[in-house]
Amino acid sequence: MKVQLRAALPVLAVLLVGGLFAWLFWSGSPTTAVAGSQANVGPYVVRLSTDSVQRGVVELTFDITDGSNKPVEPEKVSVEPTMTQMGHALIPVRATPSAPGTYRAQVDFNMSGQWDITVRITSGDEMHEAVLSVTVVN
Amino acid sequence: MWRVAAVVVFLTSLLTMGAGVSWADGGHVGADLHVAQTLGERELTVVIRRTGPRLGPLLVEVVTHAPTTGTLRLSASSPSATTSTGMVELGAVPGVHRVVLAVDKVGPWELAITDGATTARIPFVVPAQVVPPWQRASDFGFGAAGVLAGVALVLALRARRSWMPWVPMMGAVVALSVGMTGAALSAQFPPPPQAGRDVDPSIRAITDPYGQARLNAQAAVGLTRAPLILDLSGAVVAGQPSTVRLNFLDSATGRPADDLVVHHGALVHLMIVSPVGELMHLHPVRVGPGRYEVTVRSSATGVHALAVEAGRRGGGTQQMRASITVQPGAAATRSAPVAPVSDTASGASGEVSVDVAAAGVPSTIRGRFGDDPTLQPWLGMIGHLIVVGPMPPSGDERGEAAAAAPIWSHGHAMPPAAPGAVGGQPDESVATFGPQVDFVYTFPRPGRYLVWVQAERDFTVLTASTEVEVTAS
Repeated sequence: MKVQLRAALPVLAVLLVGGLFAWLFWSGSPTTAVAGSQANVGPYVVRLSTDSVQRGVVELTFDITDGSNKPVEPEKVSVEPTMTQMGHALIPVRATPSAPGTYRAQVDFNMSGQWDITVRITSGDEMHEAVLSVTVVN
Repeated sequence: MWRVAAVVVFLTSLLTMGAGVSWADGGHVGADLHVAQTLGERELTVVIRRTGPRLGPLLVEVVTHAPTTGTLRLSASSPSATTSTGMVELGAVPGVHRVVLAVDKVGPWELAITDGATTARIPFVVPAQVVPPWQRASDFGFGAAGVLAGVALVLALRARRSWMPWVPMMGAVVALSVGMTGAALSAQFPPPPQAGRDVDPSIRAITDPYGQARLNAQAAVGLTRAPLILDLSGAVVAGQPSTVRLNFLDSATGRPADDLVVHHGALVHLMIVSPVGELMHLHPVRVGPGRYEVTVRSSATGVHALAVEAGRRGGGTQQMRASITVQPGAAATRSAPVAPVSDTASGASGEVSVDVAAAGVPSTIRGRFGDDPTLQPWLGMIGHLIVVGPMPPSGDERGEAAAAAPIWSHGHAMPPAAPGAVGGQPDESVATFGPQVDFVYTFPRPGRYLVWVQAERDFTVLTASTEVEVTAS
């Protein structure tokens, strides 16, 4: 009994230290949610709910409000995804409203990395573009 | 009992003094940003002093290089942060004018400067406190070692079983080795890609650059981007201030390229050679995403040669060549060809002398501005060299010849390193350089070249020029 307890000491020590290490070290992991991204353009404030998505077909959800946080409903909202570092762009996608001020668009992120999402808001004769940043992970 | 309590309190106080994350650590957090801006007809240098991660005042300095009067309105804004505004009164004496704004959030910010006619928008980043992974490991290691040593001491005094103090003691040894490894390796790790300079300044790239680098590593993309296309427009009339528009596009997708970085003290360098051989060195201001504007005033009509230098995020700068034809104004006159220029504002003249070697062999170019060692750095450098050629023998159409010249070089003379100096390169408030600035330049082909040297004294930009005949080797 005593020998078994003595042999278990280093194991206990490693478990204790390992537990503390995991708690302190991994609290800064990259999958921690960052509060989305936001861009102000003209009279609009465009907010994307998340800035990190999985590779493949993704439904992006974003909110468009005015300066005082009231939802707005412009005539046409479309999404133009571009991967600037690789120098290629995807076909623009029309965003559909799911709730006042909330829009959804399906985008096929075919490559992981940093993507720029240009939200083009058209209302009458006016057109505004807001650029948001999204990281696509494997 | 109270002895044990006293020991515990003593150890706890020792631990709390040093076991936490040190907020002054983390390496170089932010630097002063010096950006040259030709706003209207004023050549300005805007200095945004370092800020963050402690938020609060943002010190902005506007340096003028000619006597001018007027007011500039500045405002700093960021998505979901409070916009802060201020005013700067410009005076008859060129120099530094200060204003204090405020930043209340980390992230990508924009400083807008307007003179009533044009609004320049300068992007800058308010950095966050970033704790590198090895610092987390060393902080944890030493902190845990202290805690566990205290626990072991208490157990040694109070425990009933003899093996009990050994557990935390061995844990302390393991923690100490983790801490020492983290601290020893801290100098070996390269910094992560910097938000704003290497990668786009998204919130994630600013607050968690190591996490961002890990995500980017999965994609195996490099940092460099497609080349820029320069889309130039604007009608210039002789004798009047005219607006030239420079739109920068991404050559792979055709979209506006809004990711230029400050290099050599400006976002965009524009050099213009007029038909009479006059040089203008301007810095277009950003008025929108990928859109830049500059006010040009030329007394000569005809073809003016342009060279534009800019660099995108991810590394590398590019030179784009173009030309613009200046139309005659209401009362147009052709000026005489310009001889070596003397700066009449301060009365100091400059002259350029060249120890010319054959083509392909380094030559030495010396710009001498008076006799006093009172030159100041402009755009971070004590001297600027522009070489254009080979040109046909002296004629009237220097602009057209410069536009067709195969070689257009833009070089610099660095300020000498001051022994023991810290804090980076000296800025325009240091006036102890010169009066001579030297360059070593290799003329690639034989022929006739136009050479200009620029320096700054008393906050005034001085330009001197000469022509050089280079023989074949």
